[in-house]
Amino acid sequence: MAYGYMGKILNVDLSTSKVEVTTFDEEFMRKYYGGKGFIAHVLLNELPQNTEPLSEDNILIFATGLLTGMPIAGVPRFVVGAKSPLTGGFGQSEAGGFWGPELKKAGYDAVVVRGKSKKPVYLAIDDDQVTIKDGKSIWGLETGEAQDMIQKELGSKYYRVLQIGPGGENLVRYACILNNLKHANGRNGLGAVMGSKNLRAIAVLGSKNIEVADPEGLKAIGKDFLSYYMDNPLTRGLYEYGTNGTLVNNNVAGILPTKNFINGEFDQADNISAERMNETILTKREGCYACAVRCKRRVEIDRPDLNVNGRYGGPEYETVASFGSLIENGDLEIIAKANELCNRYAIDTISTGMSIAFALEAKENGYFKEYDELDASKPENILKLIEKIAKREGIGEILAEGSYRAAEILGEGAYRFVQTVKGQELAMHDPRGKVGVGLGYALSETGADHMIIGHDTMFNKEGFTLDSMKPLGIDKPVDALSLEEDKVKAFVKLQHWWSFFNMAGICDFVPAPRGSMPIDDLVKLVQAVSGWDVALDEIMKAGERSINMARLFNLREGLTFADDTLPDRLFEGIGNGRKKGTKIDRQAFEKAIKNYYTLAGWDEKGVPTEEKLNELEINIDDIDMSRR
Amino acid sequence: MNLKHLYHEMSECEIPYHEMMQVNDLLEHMGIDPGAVSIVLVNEELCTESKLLNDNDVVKLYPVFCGG
Repeated sequence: MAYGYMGKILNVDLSTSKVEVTTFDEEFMRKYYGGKGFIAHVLLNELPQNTEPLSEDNILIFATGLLTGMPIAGVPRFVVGAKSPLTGGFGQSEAGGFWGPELKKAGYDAVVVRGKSKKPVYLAIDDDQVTIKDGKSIWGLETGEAQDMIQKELGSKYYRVLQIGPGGENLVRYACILNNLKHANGRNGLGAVMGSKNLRAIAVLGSKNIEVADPEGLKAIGKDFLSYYMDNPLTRGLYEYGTNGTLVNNNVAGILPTKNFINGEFDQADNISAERMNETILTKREGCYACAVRCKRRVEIDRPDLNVNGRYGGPEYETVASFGSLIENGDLEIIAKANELCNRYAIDTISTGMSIAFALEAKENGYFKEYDELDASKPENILKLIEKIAKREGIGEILAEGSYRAAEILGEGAYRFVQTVKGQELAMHDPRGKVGVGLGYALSETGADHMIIGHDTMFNKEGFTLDSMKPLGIDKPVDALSLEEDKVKAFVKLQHWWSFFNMAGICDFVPAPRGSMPIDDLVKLVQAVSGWDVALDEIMKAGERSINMARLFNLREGLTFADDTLPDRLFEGIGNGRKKGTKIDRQAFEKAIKNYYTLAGWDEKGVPTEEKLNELEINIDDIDMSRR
Repeated sequence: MNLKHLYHEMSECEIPYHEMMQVNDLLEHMGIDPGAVSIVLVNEELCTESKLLNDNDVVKLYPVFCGG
């Protein structure tokens, strides 16, 4: 068995109630590592082409990585994957929290769920004892009540509960999966896949040790990290302000998504800033498993007319912007309540906010006339809309389909209000101020996703972040608005590096350039845990491999190079603020995408070449690629 | 968000002006790593660190804070 891994995969077939443990060898894990690497392997080799995402044939995979659960900061993460009901392509979404480490301690590197249960169930894992439990009594409950009931039924509050909520039960196409009520595998609608299988939760309790090759080496890297991590301004900022520290910066820079990406500056940004949160509703700084950075927020409100329960955490930047500037709401307490509701119902805050922003703009332009709750002047209406979406009531029945399908329902003219890539709503970063993020949105296998690369502002000038990237071969500043070859080259390297984070269970807030751990130390960490003589080149190649496998999956499912683009609005000027009029040049963007294909070893239609697949040791003969 | 939590509690200060003074000189005077600053506003306009300053200009600095 490979060090760092438990060597076992738990296979659960809900159609037959069969539970089976399979193993894998060291060579397999050195190739795929875990996370989306493992997910891509399973989906490409096992999922039949054209599988309907919400059918019982879809495969739902929960995959940790090599470093998940190590006693060191920044490695709590795991990935959920399946064919996405939002994009129709490769679906995956990461989360931190505590569930991934607990799964490994229970003895498993991954759980693969197939089939569909006839009735609601949940899975209970207590080391080697795995039980499919009746879930009838928790079906329909909000997440908090369901977690309490599961822990009570299993007899221990130490069970880590991962679950969907009413959103997933009702097949909201952007339903998420939560662990500990507040850590979300947020994107791509994987909660709906779980709901379609009648699987409400997976509760895990583990007691095993994760063996590592060099425990002393691991300890030394962890101890060293604790001696310097707070000296890094980015890390310090995360502790002090949480991810929402970026909101005022984006506003000042004129690129805060405002009014469904029409504008870049929000006149009430200070009211929803991190400083305002610190001064008013913040009650605690929290973190994930073994992490010292503590970037998570806990907020609480106790008003006669508005109560926010701290057990659901607090809004991150993406959530604050999605329910704030994006829909021109300057009421931080309403945002906090919106975050709580999304976690009670388990729906993705980004796609929820974006779907509401879409609906508000559509209403302004003559659609949705019968829905009075669509009123931007009444921020409290956001809360009603969230409930309707999660329960698929009224207008919620349309918006639960995601903004792209909602526009389809409204008619062709409504597409101009949709801001999606491959059907997934944009995250809260405007590529008109950092175009590499736009390349990321367009090229991500999951649709618009801000988590697949380091953002342009990390390397647009000399400084400590650029210095930290030098081992990757990025050593000269590149303008944040450049789409020239040096930007695309940097993008490719960062994409491979970030892809490896996903596969190994790493949070991008800890290693350089976004975090303070030097790249060389992360390589040493991989070596200490695995015992492999792995170098940075091999790590980057592993990251590249999973990108290519996910690409093959998307091509097989009918996505093409034409899907590697951005919504029209981003090729139009920002409507207000310091970047008023700034837009992405469409021709330059298309050229950059072609340039990416060349650098990635793909042909002019974005298909990985045989040479590239051979280089990455991906055996195309094993994969049905008839729709290429 | 300002830099006071990262740099010696300095949230607002006055710096003596000299000819051909750039924002970079200001950072050096305050002991701030230019890499730690993401946005520079001079009289509320976006600028780079090489911007030449005039006497009585108001400079606002925002710390680097990528992604989220």
